[in-house]
Amino acid sequence: MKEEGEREVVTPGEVLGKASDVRAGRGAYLAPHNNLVYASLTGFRRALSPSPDSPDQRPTVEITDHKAHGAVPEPGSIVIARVTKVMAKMASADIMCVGPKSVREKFSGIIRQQDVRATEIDKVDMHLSFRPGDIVKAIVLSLGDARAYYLSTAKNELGVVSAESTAGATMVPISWTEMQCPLTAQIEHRKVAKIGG
Amino acid sequence: MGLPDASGDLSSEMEVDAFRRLFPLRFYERHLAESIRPDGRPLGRARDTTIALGAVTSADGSALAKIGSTTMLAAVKMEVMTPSMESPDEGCIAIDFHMPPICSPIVRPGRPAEAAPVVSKQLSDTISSSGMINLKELSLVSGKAAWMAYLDIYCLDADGALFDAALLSAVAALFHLQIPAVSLNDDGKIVVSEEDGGKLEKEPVNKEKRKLTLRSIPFSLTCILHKNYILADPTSEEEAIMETLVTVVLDSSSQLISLYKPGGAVLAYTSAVQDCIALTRQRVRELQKILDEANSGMEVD
Amino acid sequence: MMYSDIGRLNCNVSYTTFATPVRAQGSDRKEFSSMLHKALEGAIILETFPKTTVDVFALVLESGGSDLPVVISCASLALADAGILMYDLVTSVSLSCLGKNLVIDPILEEESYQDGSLMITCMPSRYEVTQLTITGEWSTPKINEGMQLCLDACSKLANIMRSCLKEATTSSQE
Repeated sequence: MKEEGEREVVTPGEVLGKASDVRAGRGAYLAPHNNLVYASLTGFRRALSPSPDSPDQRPTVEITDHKAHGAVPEPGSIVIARVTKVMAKMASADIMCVGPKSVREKFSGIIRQQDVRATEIDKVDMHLSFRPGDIVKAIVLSLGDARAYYLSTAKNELGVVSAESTAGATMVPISWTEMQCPLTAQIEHRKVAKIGG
Repeated sequence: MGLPDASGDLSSEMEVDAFRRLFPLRFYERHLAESIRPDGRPLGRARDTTIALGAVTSADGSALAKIGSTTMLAAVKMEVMTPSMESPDEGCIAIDFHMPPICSPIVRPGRPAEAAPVVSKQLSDTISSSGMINLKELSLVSGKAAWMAYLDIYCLDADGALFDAALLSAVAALFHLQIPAVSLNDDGKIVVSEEDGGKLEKEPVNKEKRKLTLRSIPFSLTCILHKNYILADPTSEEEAIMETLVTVVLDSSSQLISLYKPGGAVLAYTSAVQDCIALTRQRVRELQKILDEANSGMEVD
Repeated sequence: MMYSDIGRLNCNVSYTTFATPVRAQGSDRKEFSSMLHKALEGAIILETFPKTTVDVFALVLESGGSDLPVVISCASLALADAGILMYDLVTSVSLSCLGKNLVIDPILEEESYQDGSLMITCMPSRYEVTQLTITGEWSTPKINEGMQLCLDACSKLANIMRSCLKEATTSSQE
């Protein structure tokens, strides 16, 4: 799709065009009662030309949000979270980043015992997998319940990416279940993410 | 943006914003090593400060103070009351500090901010121990009537250094305060005088609007101690990461009114305390100038 | 708290202790909060943010009359500024009936002498009225006249709000 730049600012409720002329993209909506396309956001109006071989030749009009919105987790997105609580059957974590972008407000996530790893899922000891303060990489399973997103670390490249030892130093991963403190040489157990593919 | 450090591969995958949220201490220490802070300020400098007097027209005295993004609105309302038996010649001031949900995402209607009652008490203590206000000036009729001044401070935007901004707005509001003209009517009650001089049967107790004489106005500066660094006027992000705070309150002649250090991981050696006091002294001069400018700006109207 | 697949709106209106001429305990105004909620909920496209709540907090710093209409219009501007998807801006104007006269946007003193009041909240570009509150005795032609005045004022207010939003957008881009 080719872009045509138009730097006109619109506000919610302004008419962008007739339904017969334009299609409603992001930040716009079609009012069924009078077949007009209105804006639903404040921002710059952009018209995107349709690809030449698509059956619908109307340009799509969308509004670019002037405020860069923080990312929102969706099922399937890789997130980075900080563990807040570890309990017998699950761990709570605050989602801080979705992909490479940080989020505006913190989202709550839960990693249940059966989602920690792919094998021997009923023998998982939560306290040997995570500790509060650990930074983990996880995938969003679903929108979960009212309180938190359901996360999973059941893949090789998911799990703890950064953790502090009890001595306060950043630990070095040794295997997929162990990390070592560089100061005291003490080994601690975590579900470690495999970095470097 | 590859940051070569222990967090290794992780940092090259994410944006600066994300790194700042996940490893805030590392992010800050990188900047502190260059003697600068992420917002570009040198360590000892406070944020841009402004004062606007008379922000609330329905109050007897008011001021809006902004330090960086931290915004405080203070207003004084006067009411007549009966003075207590122990001090029949004195009025009273009641100071209250509020943090409404609008000021910060962590405050919600059912979950009030922990900082609010702490700052409220700090403000009351500071203003009374500074001797700024002579309570006898608030007396009307000895033993029968005196002024109760309600000073309410609302935080409209909480971005660190709450006490400094609150104290500044409180002081500015008291500076702006004009005590209403009142007279005693036949029933022995105090009523507000008419603007046009009033009837003569009422005995004017307070002939015309007057301002309070303020002695030794207190000004403050909050600093954060982290390892060997002293950061003046912290933002809320800085306060959350580096938790040791020191607040110094001095009056306009650089006399020490109070020093407040509520625990914290970093110990304050004499040299650190002296550095904080020196920074505060400089800050007092800045604030005095800003307050005077705001005041003279008002008189032009 | 139940899981909801459309967004939720939560409104709260409170006054400062010095907002009113006589100092009052600064408490939440439940009535205003629920009226604000009713005024805004028709305008926000709640389906676009499931499992999320939008909190709107209004703090009245100084009360000078026509408080609720100002709160509603202001809240609508704040939502537009926040980037929440809306069908339209929401504007609100109130009117006082003083004897034979209809006075638009009354101040506190005018409100205290009023025989009746009329408040309209509408979505201006769609000409849809989302809320209508009438108190006192009104004849039908008077209501029509009052509504016409208010709708007219609402659309003028909307123009001012739009130009304010546009200015903020262009200046933040530079």
